Amino acid sequence: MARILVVDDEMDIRSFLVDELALLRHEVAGAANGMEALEKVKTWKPHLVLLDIRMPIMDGLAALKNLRGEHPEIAVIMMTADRDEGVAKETITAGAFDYVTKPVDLERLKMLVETKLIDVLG
Amino acid sequence: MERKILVAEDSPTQAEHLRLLLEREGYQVILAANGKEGLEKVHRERPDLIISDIVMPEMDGYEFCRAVKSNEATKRIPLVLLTGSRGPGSILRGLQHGADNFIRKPFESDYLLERVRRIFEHLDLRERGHLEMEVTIHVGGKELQITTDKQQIIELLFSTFEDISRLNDELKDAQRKLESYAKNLESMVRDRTARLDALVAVMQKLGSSLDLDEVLNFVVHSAGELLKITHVGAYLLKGETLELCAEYSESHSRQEARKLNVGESVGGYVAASGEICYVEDVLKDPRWAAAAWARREGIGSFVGLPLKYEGTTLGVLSCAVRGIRSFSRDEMRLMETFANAAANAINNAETHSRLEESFEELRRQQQMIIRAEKLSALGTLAAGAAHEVLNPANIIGLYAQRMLNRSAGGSDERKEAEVIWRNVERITKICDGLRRFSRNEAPKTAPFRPGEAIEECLQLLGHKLRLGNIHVEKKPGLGEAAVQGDQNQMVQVFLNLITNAVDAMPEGGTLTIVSDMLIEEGSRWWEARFSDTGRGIPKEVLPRIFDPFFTTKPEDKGTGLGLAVTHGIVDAHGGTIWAESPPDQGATFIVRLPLETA
Ligand SMILES: Nc1ncnc2c1ncn2[C@@H]1O[C@H](COP(=O)(O)OP(=O)(O)O)[C@@H](O)[C@H]1O
Repeated sequence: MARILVVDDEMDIRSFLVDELALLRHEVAGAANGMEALEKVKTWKPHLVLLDIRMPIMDGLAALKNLRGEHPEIAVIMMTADRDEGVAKETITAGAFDYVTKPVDLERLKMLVETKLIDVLG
Repeated sequence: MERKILVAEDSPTQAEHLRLLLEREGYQVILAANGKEGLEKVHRERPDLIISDIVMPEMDGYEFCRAVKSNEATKRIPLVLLTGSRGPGSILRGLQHGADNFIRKPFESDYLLERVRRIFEHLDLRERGHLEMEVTIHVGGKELQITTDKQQIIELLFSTFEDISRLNDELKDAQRKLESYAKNLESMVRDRTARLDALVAVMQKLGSSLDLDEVLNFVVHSAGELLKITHVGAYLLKGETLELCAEYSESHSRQEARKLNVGESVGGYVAASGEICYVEDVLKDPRWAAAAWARREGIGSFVGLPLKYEGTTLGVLSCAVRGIRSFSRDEMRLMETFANAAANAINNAETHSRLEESFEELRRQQQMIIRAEKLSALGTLAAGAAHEVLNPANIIGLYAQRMLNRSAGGSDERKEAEVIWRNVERITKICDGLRRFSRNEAPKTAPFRPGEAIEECLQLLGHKLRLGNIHVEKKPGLGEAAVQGDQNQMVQVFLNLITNAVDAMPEGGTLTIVSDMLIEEGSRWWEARFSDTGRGIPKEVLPRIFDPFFTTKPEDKGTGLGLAVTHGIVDAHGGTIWAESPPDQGATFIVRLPLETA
């Protein structure tokens, strides 16, 4: 049983991913932007955060940097519609080694989540 | 012994003149202003000789003569009449009145003195009793008794007739001269006017027309018609060859030599020397090459004039005439004027076409700049739009995947979910393309061989090419040249171009790829030309093919982004790309990339 936080400003995506990951028998919660996500992390302590990059109020990269500083133990998977190398590089230097591109390939995402959790939970 | 001469003359100046003349010869002169005064003085002075004018007041020369001759005391004094009028009338009348001799006015001094001397000689002879004759002659149906010696009469009459016929001849001659001069003048004026008109026309043509053919044709025709030259040809110098560009022929036959090398024949000689050349008889000139033609056309004389502009020979004006003919200074000058006109026209046309070329080049560059600007503005917009589209597409995609997972294989739901997913992928592809072409970042740079990139594409597309029955020709092989840039991006450029070519040849065909290196504007370029034998690109479509979303392909095949992306990539590499599509010849895309300058 792991706790997964899905952060995306698009409600349709958020609820979809929450549902799908719940099917994998995980505890899943959602947040609409980086700020909300950081609040939630403090109290709820997720093992894994799925983080969209483009979001209002606080975007994914800013949230990622904060997470890396405050909660290095939490695994992060970035989601991005930007396929170019520049964005990829930036996320990697900010400490996220995994990312999926939109439109998200569901199978690939599930596989990635499972392997990450094995890393985190041991 | 001093001889005494009486001069009857009413004009004081003429009287004085005669007196001086005679006195200088040692005669004594008595003057009388008319016949009456003369008669008195004859009686008083008894002169040895009388010289009398005819027309005088109170008593004229004839009356005076009769009076002298009818008087026994004076009738032996010889009397000379000064006759003014031409023709024998006055002489005959003088004879009737008894005059002994005649001198026609105006007279030469020597002639008069000679006459006077002769008369005195005769007088001497008579006084010695030698001569005394009366002659009867018939003149005009009248019988005349003349008391003077025969010889003199005959002499006199002859001289009179001679005079008359000479005068007549002179008159006729003068008249003929006058007539021919008038005629000449007229034709000279006509000629001049025609030449002037032609020159004015040539100058006007020059001023108003930049069409070389038109001007040259005009020049050769004007020269031919105006100067009556059988064949006029305007040759233009192209490298080492003279090419006939305009000709005039009186007989409508064609000039023999359509091309001449510099130095060949007389025309070639003119081009080589830059000097005007006149040949009196071409058949006798060893340089002349077209002997058969000259013989057939009866060509004799030839003038070749260099067409020179600012010292440079641009061509030759050749003028060949039937038969032998020389040209006047005026005609030569006119020919030179025509040659100058032609040279000016050539120079103008050359300047003009150079101007047009650079104008064309400028326009091409300007179009490229406009296109680049348009693309970059569009790119920014498109990138934003693409991003916005990707999110909803992502959502649709996610749900489609869920439906896929939940539906049984082969069910209608599954098929429908697959259609949704496929189209989401298509949207994604479009958005990718949009963002790629709008990406402003410089390409990843490393030296690579574009030739290799093309080779890679051909391999990737091998199957498609075979299937489409496309034959690929590479000339002259794809080369080793290296450029700076992003090989992957360049592969995409070539993939686009080759795929488009394949699409344009649904029935199959040939794709020719020619790569080369060239130097332009001081830079070295690698260039590849992709020519297909497909349907080509209509003229009105050509300016739009690089626009994003411009496509002529069906919905599910074309995105209209391929060439936009291609253009963006080539641009980012500092290169240029453009398309040409001559009617019925398929399309050619030309890619130029800057070569590394060693
Ligand atoms: N080789 C070619 N021959 C004829 N037409 C061409 C060729 N290449 C491109 N075009 C024209 O240019 C248009 C735009 O091409 P492109 O930007 O690659 O988009 P797409 O291929 O998706 O239509 C094509 O739809 C076609 O009309």
